[in-house]
Amino acid sequence: MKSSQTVAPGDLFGADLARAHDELSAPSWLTALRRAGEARFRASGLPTTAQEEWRYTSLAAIAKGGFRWSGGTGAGRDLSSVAASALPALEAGSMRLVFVDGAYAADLSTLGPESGAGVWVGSLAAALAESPPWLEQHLGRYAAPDHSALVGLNTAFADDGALLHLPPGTRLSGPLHILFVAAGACVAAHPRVLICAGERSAATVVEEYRSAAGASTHYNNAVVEMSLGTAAEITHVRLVAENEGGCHTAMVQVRQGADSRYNCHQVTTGGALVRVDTRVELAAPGAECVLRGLYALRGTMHADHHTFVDHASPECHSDERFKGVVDDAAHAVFNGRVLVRPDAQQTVATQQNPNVLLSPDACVDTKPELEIYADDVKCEHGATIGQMDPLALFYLQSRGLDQAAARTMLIRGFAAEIIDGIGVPGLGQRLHDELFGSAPQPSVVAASSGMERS
Amino acid sequence: MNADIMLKISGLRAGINGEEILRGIDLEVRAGEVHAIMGPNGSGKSTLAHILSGRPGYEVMAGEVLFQGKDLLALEPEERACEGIFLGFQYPVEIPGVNNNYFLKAALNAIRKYRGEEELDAFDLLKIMKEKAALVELDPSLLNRAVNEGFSGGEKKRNEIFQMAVLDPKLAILDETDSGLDIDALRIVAEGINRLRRSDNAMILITHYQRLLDYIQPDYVHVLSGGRIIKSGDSSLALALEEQGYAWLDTAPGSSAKGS
Ligand SMILES: Nc1ncnc2c1ncn2[C@@H]1O[C@H](COP(=O)(O)OP(=O)(O)OP(=O)(O)O)[C@@H](O)[C@H]1O
Ligand SMILES: [Mg+2]
Repeated sequence: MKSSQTVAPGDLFGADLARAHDELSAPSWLTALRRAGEARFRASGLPTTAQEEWRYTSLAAIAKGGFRWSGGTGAGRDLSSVAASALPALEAGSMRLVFVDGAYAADLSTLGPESGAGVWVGSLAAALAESPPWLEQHLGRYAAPDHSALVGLNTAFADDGALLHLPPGTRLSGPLHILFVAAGACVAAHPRVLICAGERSAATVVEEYRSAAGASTHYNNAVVEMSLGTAAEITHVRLVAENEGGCHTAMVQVRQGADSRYNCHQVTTGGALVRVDTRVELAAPGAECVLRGLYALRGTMHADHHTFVDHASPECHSDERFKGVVDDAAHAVFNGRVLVRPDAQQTVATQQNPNVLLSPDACVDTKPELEIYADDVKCEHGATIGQMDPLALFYLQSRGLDQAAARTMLIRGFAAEIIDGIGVPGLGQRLHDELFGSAPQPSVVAASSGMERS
Repeated sequence: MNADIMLKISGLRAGINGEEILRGIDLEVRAGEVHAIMGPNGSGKSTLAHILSGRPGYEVMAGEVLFQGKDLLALEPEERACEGIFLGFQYPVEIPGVNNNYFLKAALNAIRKYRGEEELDAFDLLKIMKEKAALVELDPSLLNRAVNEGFSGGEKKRNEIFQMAVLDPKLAILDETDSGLDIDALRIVAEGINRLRRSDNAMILITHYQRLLDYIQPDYVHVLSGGRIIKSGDSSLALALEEQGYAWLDTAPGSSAKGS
């Protein structure tokens, strides 16, 4: 076929997959994992809108984008366009792992004293060199190569990424910042994050996607897998701020042990096409997860957040709240599935998805899916799509604020609940600044609900 | 034109969805005056207040409103605020996620900017907020909450008066600011209002009860009924209404319609 419109599933990324065979070295277990991933991807190619899960999100931009893998971690990268000073940072002294087009950039990264003291923080490439026993045990276990086509594709190129291994009872003293920077032209990268949190361990991880100044179109296909041991607590902040040409697909797969707690804060503010799947398995009694999300879309952005909370055990709690602000001709998709399995008694699950449309051309498709097979459960859900409240707007204007300022204040107030709830020092302020300009607003004391009125 | 007249409403007919609510209002307010507007539920008092402050959605069918000589109805709501109009809402609006203090400081500086005055810095703003909060005995913890969110009815009304104190309007239209206040709060709010009374500003108090007027003596009392001012008088009119209700007045048809 000569047409640029169609790419046969077997061909897409075919040359890169063949290159990966030749260029990536690894222990045999990893090679086996990669081959399994490749087979999974080749079997179906990219998902299509014919699949229910992908009904509202077409990956045609990825199929037609001509994105090319920029080679394994040994291939070298041109880092000249990436200035360390221009990269976003957390508080001074925070550990930061920086990846440029998928490969670890040691010069841009800062490791803390934790690495070495039982806790393992660093790149997958470095871990492979040391080959600690837990690596083979965990990598590809929670997000298995045959999990989905995109996880398969990521696994086929698994070569570098960020690793955090917390032995029982350990905790990171400050947040770990994992920054994936897109720098090249038309590059496809397959970021991978693995977090193994032992019993009673605790850490905060900020996973962030950025484009270097001048970066053109690119594709990040990320896989994050995580296991939380008994009573472990992980706070996971996930920021997707790709540039206007950035495509981003991600699978976040979390398995929670007994009495563990997973706090997830997702903020999606940039990218031409974004699809994030978050799947949390509450695998043992007493596990608790809190999922918070904000998507703020403008222009012609398309962002699709799919979540799946699997109550596989009794006495688990899940509390999910994703908020959307959709402007211009942007399109947001939210799908929240909650499954309560037959023996997951005393489940408490809530899910909410309030959306505000700021323009007549903006669009939201939201769908909660509750499947409940246990009888002693408390579940509630709600999704709303509204416009900015005209009475609230008038109230602010009647005090002297012009319409633009009043609108910004209302949108900011709507988003504040999620942004202020992140709890990583300095990060909330940075996000406010990026989204709404630099005027600071102190956070409000009471938690707020929604901006829309029903 | 009389330079003393701050607000001049002439032959104002207005409504919503083609239905006329105000059926010809004439009213003049001079600097230094306090006018009370009373009248049955649904008679159009809040409608008048909203139209004066620029709430979208109303249609003006006839008449004009001049504020300090300017065509008020041609201005955006924020321009009216900047020109010196303040509306104390009958039902103050809850605004989740927007810090009360932050909002009011932004509003004050927007007004100052419009008037060509220098914007205040954080230090001066804090001073004003503290001073005015004390004036109306507003619990300072409310300043750091979201605007009106979860405030009790009385706290919301007090917050309106606090905002008025900070923004220092020329013409304050207070729509049933007294309802929902307990006896102490009523006294405090009324005293606050009295302290804000000057020879160069004016107030329109919309109220159902004499008790507010016990504290704030109005220069004029008007009865709005069926979208018209059917009677005007001095403060004794309010006392008469308190005793005899509206029935003794020749109320217009439709004036008994119940509001919410
Ligand atoms: N948005 C609207 N749509 C339809 N009718 C309206 C609207 N707003 C006001 N009205 C009607 O206009 C009339 C006047 O209402 P308004 O709120 O001005 O009365 P009010 O005098 O303030 O009453 P109250 O003393 O109960 O506060 C009422 O009959 C009311 O139902
Ligand atoms: Mg009213």
